[in-house]
Amino acid sequence: MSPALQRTRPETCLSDLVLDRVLAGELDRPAHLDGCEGCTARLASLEQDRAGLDGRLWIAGEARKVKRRLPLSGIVATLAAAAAVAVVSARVIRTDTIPGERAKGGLALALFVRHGEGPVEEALPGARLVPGDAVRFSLSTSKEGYVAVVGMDDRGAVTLHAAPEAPLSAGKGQLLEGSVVLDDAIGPERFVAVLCDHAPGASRVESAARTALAAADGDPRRAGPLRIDCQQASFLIEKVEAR
Amino acid sequence: MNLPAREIEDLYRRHGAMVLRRARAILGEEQAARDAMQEVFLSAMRAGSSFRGEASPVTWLYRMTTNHCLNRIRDEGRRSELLEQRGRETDEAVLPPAPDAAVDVARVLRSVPSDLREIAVYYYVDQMNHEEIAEITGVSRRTIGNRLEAFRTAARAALGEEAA
Repeated sequence: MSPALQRTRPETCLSDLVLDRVLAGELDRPAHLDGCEGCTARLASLEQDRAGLDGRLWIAGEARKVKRRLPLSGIVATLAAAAAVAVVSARVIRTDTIPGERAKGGLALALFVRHGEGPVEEALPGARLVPGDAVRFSLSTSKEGYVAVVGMDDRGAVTLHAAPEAPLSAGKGQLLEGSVVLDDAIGPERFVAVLCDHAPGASRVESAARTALAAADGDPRRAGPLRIDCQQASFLIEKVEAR
Repeated sequence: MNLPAREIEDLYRRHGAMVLRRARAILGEEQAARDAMQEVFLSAMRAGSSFRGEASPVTWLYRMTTNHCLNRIRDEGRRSELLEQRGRETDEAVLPPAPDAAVDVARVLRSVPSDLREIAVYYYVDQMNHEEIAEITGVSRRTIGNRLEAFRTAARAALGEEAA
């Protein structure tokens, strides 16, 4: 048989699917790896392969027609541009807010979630989480500033989750101290991060959030930007009952 | 509704290398692999909320990558047949260049019946066992075994190799 069609690992070893799922955080590390050099080596090879992908993934650009045979760095820009076009089209048709993450200025908010004793995973906008999940906020910002994160849910509750006294420096993926344990209020919840030139004050941020929520008739999905002179990014989740 | 741009970027950052690696292994040609990768993420974008509901995005991406690559192999095979029927030289873009392991995979896949290709990819490229293949394809383990045996027979015949 051709060398291309010969197995390199016995069926008792781990497949690339299992190893990829381990690397993605979908599976816990199997005990098999503790005693198998071949699978351990393959895992390391896959991990190195992941790290080698062209780092220039995002290029902000105008929406353009999807073309074949793009350079790798252009592929994501095209996909993102196509998605942006789709989002714009949806805004024209629908009047409710597009779920997910919205950013104003050079600030991006990500959420990392831990379900019970499970692994930490990055949530996608619109993620369905359950009461008791622990959430940490990660901010990427192009400039230094004072940060606050406020949450608003469809019961009308507005909660300041983070307001560190020291300014946050510019940088990517900065995890804020402490985690938030989601309460038992079921339904949508929007987290809004603000980055201000001066410490914004807790009451000012909470007041702006209440105003935004009230303007959306209490629906966090439709809440617009806070009326506060700061860069903002928001992240919408849906809390559902635990199974 | 389509996945928003930020989610696609995140998905690509997390899984793009994996999709490209597998596409290369199946198709054996860099540009074709990158085209397939683009199509996979477009599919994810269009799948929207149904993709978000997947218990294992990695498994979903495995299936989509395999499907896109095999569709490409099938379409190239049809094009090759049409060209041959017209009595023309087969285009170099259809036939692979000088063989190496990855190109051999694509060549063998083209030469066997289409219902055997998916299982062969999971078994030989991804090193899955019968149980995993049964789970990802929804086909019984017995059928997996039968099709793998049929694949080996067809592949040996296509490569002109004697049966082991």
